[in-house]
Amino acid sequence: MSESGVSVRALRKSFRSFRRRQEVLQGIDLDVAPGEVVGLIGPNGAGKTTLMSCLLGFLHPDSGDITIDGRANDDLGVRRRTGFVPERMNFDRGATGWNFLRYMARLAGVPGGEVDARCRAMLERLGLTPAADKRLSQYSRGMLQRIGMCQALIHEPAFVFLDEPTSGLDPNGVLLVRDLITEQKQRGAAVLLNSHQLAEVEKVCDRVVFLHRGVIQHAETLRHTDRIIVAVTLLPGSFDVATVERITGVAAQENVVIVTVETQEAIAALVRDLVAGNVGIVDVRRHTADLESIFRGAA
Amino acid sequence: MSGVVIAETFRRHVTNIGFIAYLALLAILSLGVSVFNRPASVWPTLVTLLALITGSGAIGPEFSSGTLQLILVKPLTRASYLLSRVTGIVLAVWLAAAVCAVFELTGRALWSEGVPFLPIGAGLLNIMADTILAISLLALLGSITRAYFNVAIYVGVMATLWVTEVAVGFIRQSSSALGRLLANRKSVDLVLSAIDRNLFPEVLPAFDPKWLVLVLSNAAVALLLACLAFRGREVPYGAD
Amino acid sequence: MEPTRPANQRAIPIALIVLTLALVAGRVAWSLMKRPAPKVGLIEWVEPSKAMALARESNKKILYDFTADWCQPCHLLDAEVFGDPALAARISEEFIAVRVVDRQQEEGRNPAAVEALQRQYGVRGFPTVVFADSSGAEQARMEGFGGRQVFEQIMGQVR
Repeated sequence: MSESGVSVRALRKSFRSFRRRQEVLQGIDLDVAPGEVVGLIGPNGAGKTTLMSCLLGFLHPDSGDITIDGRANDDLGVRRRTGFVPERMNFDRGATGWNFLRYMARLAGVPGGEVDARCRAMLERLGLTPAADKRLSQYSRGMLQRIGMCQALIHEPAFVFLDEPTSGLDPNGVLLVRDLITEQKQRGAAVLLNSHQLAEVEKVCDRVVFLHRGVIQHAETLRHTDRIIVAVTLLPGSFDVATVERITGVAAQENVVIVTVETQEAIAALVRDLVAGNVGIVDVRRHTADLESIFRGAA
Repeated sequence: MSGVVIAETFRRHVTNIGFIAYLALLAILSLGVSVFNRPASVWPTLVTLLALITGSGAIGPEFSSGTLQLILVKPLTRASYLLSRVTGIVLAVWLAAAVCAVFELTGRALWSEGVPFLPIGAGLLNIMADTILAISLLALLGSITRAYFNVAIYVGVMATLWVTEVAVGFIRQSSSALGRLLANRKSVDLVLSAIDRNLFPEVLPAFDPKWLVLVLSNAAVALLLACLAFRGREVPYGAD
Repeated sequence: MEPTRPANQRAIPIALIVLTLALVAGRVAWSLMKRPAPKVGLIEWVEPSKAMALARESNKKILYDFTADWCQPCHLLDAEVFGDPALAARISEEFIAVRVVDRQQEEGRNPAAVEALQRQYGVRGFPTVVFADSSGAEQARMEGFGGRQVFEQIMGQVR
């Protein structure tokens, strides 16, 4: 895998029409490390697609720096290790799924002797084997999305860019994509995920950046590697505020106390201490950022 | 260049039902006219028409349809992709030209005295060069426009040149001031003729190495400009 | 596996640049080369100054082919008419053939003899084929090249 991931510094991009100049990206700094899944969220018109287009070399930034694994983003060596799932699959609708995937695999540089085997495995994995000989024009939206995932991942890329990968998928497909993203992370790939599905973003992403009006307004770590954030919901009326604060080191807010610990054993110890202090406990769960609030706050 | 792209482009064209039907029509026509006309006189025009139809899809429509993004993230240069697409299309058109030549030779062998290998061979060689130029120009226009504007511009320029040449000749014969001005100036003819013979050269019935070098050099310039244009072009994708 | 040759996706192939330059250079060189007086097609072309004398001696008419190297239809005329054995033989039998090549584009001006002939016959474009009697009086002309049959038709009108 790569030693360094995706790095963006001071990225600016504007579009000019004869009437005016619209600055879509106003100085973006972003990093996606190997083995990390970063979610890109924001309202329509925030600049998410423009950012992704700049990263992939479709658009030329006005200024700023984009490096992938320490190289320019249009370096062929980088391209060889890049996978991209567009929001909408547009390709030769006359081709069969099998022919399309073989073509994409060969273009991506999959060794000739492995192309057929990998295509078969990928189609099987995404549940498309029965439709392999059908033309893409006969594919449903969900099937097109799945074959989009196939062509993006068939060469085991180190940098994965996903644009609404669960769009049009049934619940099984959504679970499948979630598993695939997790696999990429475990392989050490750097994954950037653009999605409006906040629930999915919360489940798969390590970090989330919130883009609004061309700037990153908020960045939140959802999954820390060196600590665990736990939300403990207390039974109202069963506890003394001072006692809870003494045990956890944190004051309760509306019967919920958010505690940061380093290990799972520390969670168990915390629970034991609270019970021993006669504090009633209703729920204990990992705490993630409230992405909906972030959205509402920016609206 | 990418052998994968060349092979896929060629395959897509020669397996297209429209292409196959057109090829069959060309074959029957070549067989039929072998009895009557001069060698290699009918099918070159139809092969050029095929080049326009197929060449219009070299690159332009892919900007509009969004298919280019999947290609641009692959490890091949933009120039390589464009040249490979052009090559695949040229090979498909050359296949059609070869079919025409073979069927005309067969027809003449069956029904005429003597088989005019040289004129048909020259006609085949010249149409092969001519189609490279036509497809290269369409690729150039496609790299700076979208959808099928490339073929519209190509045909538009051809028609405008013809109309202008006719108009100049007509005005020259009139007694108007402009007519008198044009009567003494051949520069207008020179310019129109230069544009015409460089962009839309008449396919000669005989082998002419100078004509071949002219056509191929123009095609090379068109392809180079197409690569330069495509290199710098942004390929917007979707919307937020 | 890392590629051995890092390259930019926007690179232009050197081979294409070299090929283009070579072809353009070849074309320029070809156009600059001096060529011997052409025997175009199968016809023996005669110098303008000798045409009328030869025509009177042989009791033939004169065919003036006003042409230019840059003229595309002229090349078609050369190939389809003057290069056709049967037609060439007929032309040679009935006419003294004179080829008048316009060099204005290549050299900036024409030789005096060419200029005079173009003015005499009111040549406005190329190709222009003028059929004249042995005294130089015009009998028929073809402006532009409308095909072999058109040429034959016009030639047939000459008495």
